[in-house]
Amino acid sequence: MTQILFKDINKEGLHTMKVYEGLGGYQSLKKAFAQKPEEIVEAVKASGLRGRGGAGFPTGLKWSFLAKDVFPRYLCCNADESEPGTCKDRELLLKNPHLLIEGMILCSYACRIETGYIYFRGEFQDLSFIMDKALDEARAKGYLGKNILGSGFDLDIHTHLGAGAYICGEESALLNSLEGGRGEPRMKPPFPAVEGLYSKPTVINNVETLCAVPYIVSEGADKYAALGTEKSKGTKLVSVSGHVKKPGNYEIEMGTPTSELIYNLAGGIQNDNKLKAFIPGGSSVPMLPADKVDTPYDYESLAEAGTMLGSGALIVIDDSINIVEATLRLISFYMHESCGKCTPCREGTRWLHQIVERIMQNKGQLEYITRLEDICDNMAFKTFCPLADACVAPVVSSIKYFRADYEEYFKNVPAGAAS
Amino acid sequence: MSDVTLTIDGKTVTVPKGTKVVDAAKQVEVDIPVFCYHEKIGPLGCCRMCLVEVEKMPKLMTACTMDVAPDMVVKTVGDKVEKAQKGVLEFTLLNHPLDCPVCDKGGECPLQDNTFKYGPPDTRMEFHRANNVKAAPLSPVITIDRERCIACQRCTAYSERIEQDRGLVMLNRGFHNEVNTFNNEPYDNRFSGNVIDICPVGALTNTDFRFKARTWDLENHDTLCANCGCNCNITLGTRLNEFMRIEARPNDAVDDGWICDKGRWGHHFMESKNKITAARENSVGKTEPTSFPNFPINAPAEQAAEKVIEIFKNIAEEHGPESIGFLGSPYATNEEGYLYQKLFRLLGTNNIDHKSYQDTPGLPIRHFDVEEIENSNIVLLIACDPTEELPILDLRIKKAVSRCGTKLLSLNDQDTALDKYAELKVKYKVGSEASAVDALAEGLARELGESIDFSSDLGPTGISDEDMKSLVEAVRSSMKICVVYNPAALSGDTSLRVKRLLSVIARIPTIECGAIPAAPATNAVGAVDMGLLPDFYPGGVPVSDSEKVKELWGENAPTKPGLSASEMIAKAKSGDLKALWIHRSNPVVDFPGGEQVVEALKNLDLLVVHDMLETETTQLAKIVLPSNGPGFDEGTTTNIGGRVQARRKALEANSIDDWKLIQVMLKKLGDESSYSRVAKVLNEISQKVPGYQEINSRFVGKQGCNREQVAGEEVSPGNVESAASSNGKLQLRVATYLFAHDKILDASSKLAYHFKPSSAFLNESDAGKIGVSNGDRVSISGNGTEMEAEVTIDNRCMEGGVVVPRISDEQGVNGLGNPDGSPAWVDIKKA
Amino acid sequence: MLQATFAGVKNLLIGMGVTFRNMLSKPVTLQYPEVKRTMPTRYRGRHFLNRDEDGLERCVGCSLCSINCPVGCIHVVAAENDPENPVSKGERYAEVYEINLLRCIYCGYCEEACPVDAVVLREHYELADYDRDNYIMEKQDLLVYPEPNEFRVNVLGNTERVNK
Repeated sequence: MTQILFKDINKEGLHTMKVYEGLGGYQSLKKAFAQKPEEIVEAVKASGLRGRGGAGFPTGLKWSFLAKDVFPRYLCCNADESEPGTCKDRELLLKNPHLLIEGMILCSYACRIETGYIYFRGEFQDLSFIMDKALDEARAKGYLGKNILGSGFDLDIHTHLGAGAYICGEESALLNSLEGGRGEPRMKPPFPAVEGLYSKPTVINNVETLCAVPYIVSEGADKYAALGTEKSKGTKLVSVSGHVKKPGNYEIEMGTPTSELIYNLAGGIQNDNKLKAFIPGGSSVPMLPADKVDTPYDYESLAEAGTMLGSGALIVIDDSINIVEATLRLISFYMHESCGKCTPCREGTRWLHQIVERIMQNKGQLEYITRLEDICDNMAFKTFCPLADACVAPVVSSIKYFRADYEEYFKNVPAGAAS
Repeated sequence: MSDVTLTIDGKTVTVPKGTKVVDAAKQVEVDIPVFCYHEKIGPLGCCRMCLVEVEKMPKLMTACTMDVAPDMVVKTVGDKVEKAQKGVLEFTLLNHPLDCPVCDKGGECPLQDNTFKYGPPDTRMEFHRANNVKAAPLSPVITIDRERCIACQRCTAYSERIEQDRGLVMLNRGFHNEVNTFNNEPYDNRFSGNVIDICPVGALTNTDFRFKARTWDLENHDTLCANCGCNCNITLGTRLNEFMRIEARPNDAVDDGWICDKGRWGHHFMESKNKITAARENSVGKTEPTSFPNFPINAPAEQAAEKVIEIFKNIAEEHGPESIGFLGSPYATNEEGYLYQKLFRLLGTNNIDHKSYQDTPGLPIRHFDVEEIENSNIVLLIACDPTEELPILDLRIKKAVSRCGTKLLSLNDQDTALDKYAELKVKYKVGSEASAVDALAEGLARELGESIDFSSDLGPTGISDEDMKSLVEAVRSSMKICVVYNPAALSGDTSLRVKRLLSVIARIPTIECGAIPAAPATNAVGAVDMGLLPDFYPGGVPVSDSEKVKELWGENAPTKPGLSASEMIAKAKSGDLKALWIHRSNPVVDFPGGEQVVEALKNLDLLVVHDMLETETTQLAKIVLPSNGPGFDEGTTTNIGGRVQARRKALEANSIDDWKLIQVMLKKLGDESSYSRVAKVLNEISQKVPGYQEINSRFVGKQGCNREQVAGEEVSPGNVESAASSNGKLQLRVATYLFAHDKILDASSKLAYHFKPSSAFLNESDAGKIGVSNGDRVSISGNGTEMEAEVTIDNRCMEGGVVVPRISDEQGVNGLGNPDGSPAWVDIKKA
Repeated sequence: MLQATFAGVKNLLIGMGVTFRNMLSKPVTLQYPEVKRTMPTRYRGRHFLNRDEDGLERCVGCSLCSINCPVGCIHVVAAENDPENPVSKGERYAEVYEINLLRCIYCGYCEEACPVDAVVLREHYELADYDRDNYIMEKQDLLVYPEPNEFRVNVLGNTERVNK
């Protein structure tokens, strides 16, 4: 299978400049600086690269949306990998920081940006130290700073540690946090491409997205576009977790069947249990039952199956697990991470938690299931940011596919004996 | 800005581009419920109450965050929207306590109203509602009930966008978020009270009003705040003739919907124990004048007044009309001022004044309304500290700078809180304002290529040539400029020089210009307009214009210029002035001179004080007459923007209204006009006062209306005389402090926590010379008076000056000033 | 003649029959004031203010009775409770609570409006007095709660506490 991001990932000392350069690192810069910035944007557009953070927005298009002739512009790399189940960026940042730096330099050159930020989540402190070292090396080598490689292009990159809030992975909340404010999402429009960091045009991309750029520049957009399916191009890092024998990060070509991931790459289900459900894109996307395990792993096919690719975190759930309990765990995560800005999310997540908890205590009523669905309906797509939608997704999908698990709890409860 | 046409619930509406859908809906009377959105604060999108259906949009949109777009079709009814509204309200009420019977907001609560209109009939919540702190003080005057808070963030957004100091912030996250201050410090800035008005539930409550009355029991009187020249519109709630609370009454042309804390909690003087309730005779003063009969003890005020005015008449007849004088009030209404000047001019004297500084009526350029600040591209502040003097002007300037693209220029002798918003700040030395203003005028005139008959010298001001150059350039290149100056803070004849500067600006052809004379007193503009001046009749008619004076005021109207306030005090001291009538003014504390003023007043044969509260001056008076004052009186006042507004009666007083009392005296003197209502006085004002022709009680209405321009004279003050050498002394600048401990905010005031100790702000180099450091006690002496203060070294003023804020009546800082209004020199020694 | 006499006696007997019948039946009148009528349990007579289980005043001074009163005979002035020494359970209590019984029309709207079941109209009807001033019921007059009323306890759910 073609490996782009993980090509030499396990090479000893890859995080040092010497090894990275030895493997052909930073070669794409010379090629890029020979081109006009617009040509690089066009190349990224042609490659079909889409945002790997979760929304899957075409990256080249995002770059071309920057407000014209407004400077300075900023680049923010979203390294706030906070989606439960996702750890792909962590591996890249840990083992191959220079790939990200190279990607950021290319992006900055393409978008005429002179300042870049890497926003780490609070728990990634050790990774930020590695990155700081890598940045120092890059500065020493002249890949960062004034007049990079004699091209007349200036760039410096800074790292920033967040305080560990899930919502700061949302791009506008990330900007607020980066500015020193409260991590709450901003109103859109204006979008960050028009008014982002310090009210200036800002590009925000995920680590994985930016890491894919050097390949596109050095090997050409066509080569990248040849990978994957028609609309989902290139490769994708997938963090497989849960009840598999070999959990870990795998780079796959888009469109690989999910079953291939679970049963081949990850070695199948633990203890030879049966697959019960899987969440294909991190905790905030709807789960799918075992019979959909052959769905190809790409944006379109997963959307067709009623879920999303998200950030590429495949969570595998085997039949030893009670889905209601798993749902409660997810709700409690979102309840804890709600920023409290808007009412349905702040109050709704807590209410969902209370109700599911009550069900688990065998004190519920059958009517609770319809109530849960109704509350979810009142929350979904009515809030400021997608956090409430993310909380609703596992609840709705678990009721949809595993209603029996819920009904189990009401078997011994006489009707009307609630609370 | 172009207009956009859209359809809301089948009704077509055309609004300017950039309008939010929720505001557009208001215009066609479609009601979209909101909690977090506030017209003045802007969109937040927190409460999700305003969800509407928009055609071609996949999900429901919040009407408060969405700009209108051409051909947009909005639906605010229908199953989808109604379900969303019910759902959101259910969430909002999920943990909201059901203590409406106890809650102070009950009866005027948007949450109650919206629940009644859009809410679900019942809740499906079966769990215990979350408990939280019920009554936590945010400041001594604001209490927060965290249980009731629905986290709409209106208050924190107000704090961030309007006040702009982030006093209130959201702390914690998710379900546990709460409105609080950083580090639990008290939330005690100048505008904190507005969060009570904007809170859509009973979370932020007025500690003073807590549980005093239910809102429906209140009688609400639309009246004006009487604490500064902004004349903000307020609603004064009373119950059974007792004062209950004050709320803001939005008037975009005046206050933009906000009031300051002094306006909200600084009205307890209405029920002060120091209130003068009856006429009385004091056993003070010199020997009784021969014509003075026994004063009727315990007589009603009107009888007493009749007697006293007769004595005044006798004195005027005996010693000539120059021997009596009247010191009016810049705090009284236009009607009272007008009638009083009429009364004393009937007695044949022009010894009428109301202030200790120099000022003349009218402006050589347009008198801008406060609202014009927002669409000016340059605002020039001269010797003005709006934050302390006219707080609502401060909010207006902040709004203009941060949201309307206005640039702020400041020409001042001290640092102010607004400086951080200023594009250019030019600081001159204390006492050199005349030179600084002249230098600006000269610079502009030279740019114009005009020949001028004055010259200026930047030397004494300490301003660098480049600074003055860039200031001149900034003013010259403006498209529309609003000059805001404070005549009360300008020494000597500088306010006349400012007027000369204004006429120079007016001659620059590319500039649309206007000015706001921003004296802090409540009705300073009105008092000048009403002719409480020794050399002007009402409406800026000079006394020397005998033809016009005789036409308007009859054959016997005096046409000889009278004495100004400081001259009257000097004459009283020398014995030439026999009798003085003081209306709602406290010259002993407020006028420069201190002990000299006391001596002068003691030297009078007869001193009559007509005031609402006991002051140092009433102690010296022979006769004290009761005045009712704000809350009890009615009439009109003119604010700094020249807007005449109605101050209405809110409480019934026991004693006679001021204007009626003056009418009694006028009748006694044989004046034939009779006024059945106070509006009749206003009618007469509109006939007799140039500039007020269009003003009548109907026009004044609820929002007030602008008076016409009052004519201004061309002024040509001479060159600035070079000042005497300092001799190691420092020039004194008396700064204003909003929450000064005076008669209005007495010791029992709710705002007493704002009171500050006396302090002197020194420049580093001066402090070094005197040999004092931060925190040292020093004694400041000058003009025969001495006072103590604590030193703060912060370069608030330039070398050679000292800034002393007036923080209380007892401090007596005005006593250090020169009675003639020229800049005072003071000695500072370590105490 | 005889016939006329007979008819007379007959009519007399018919007439006296009513008299005798009533002489023997139970009288409808009561020997008021020695004997007092028991009023129906829902009778709306004099007002009282309830106390709760802990002996605190139920009234929180919300003024809803006063605003609902069609004749405006209730006057309430509320004040804030001292948390150390509360008068009622809420944050506020009625510092002044007055009902003008002369003006009152005994409609019971105040009882309906009361959110905390504080004010009730009871079956007490002897309200005659010599002095008009005595008709202004102040808080201490209203807080003297009489013996519990079964209907109000069981049907209306009033908590009642005999105040001795």
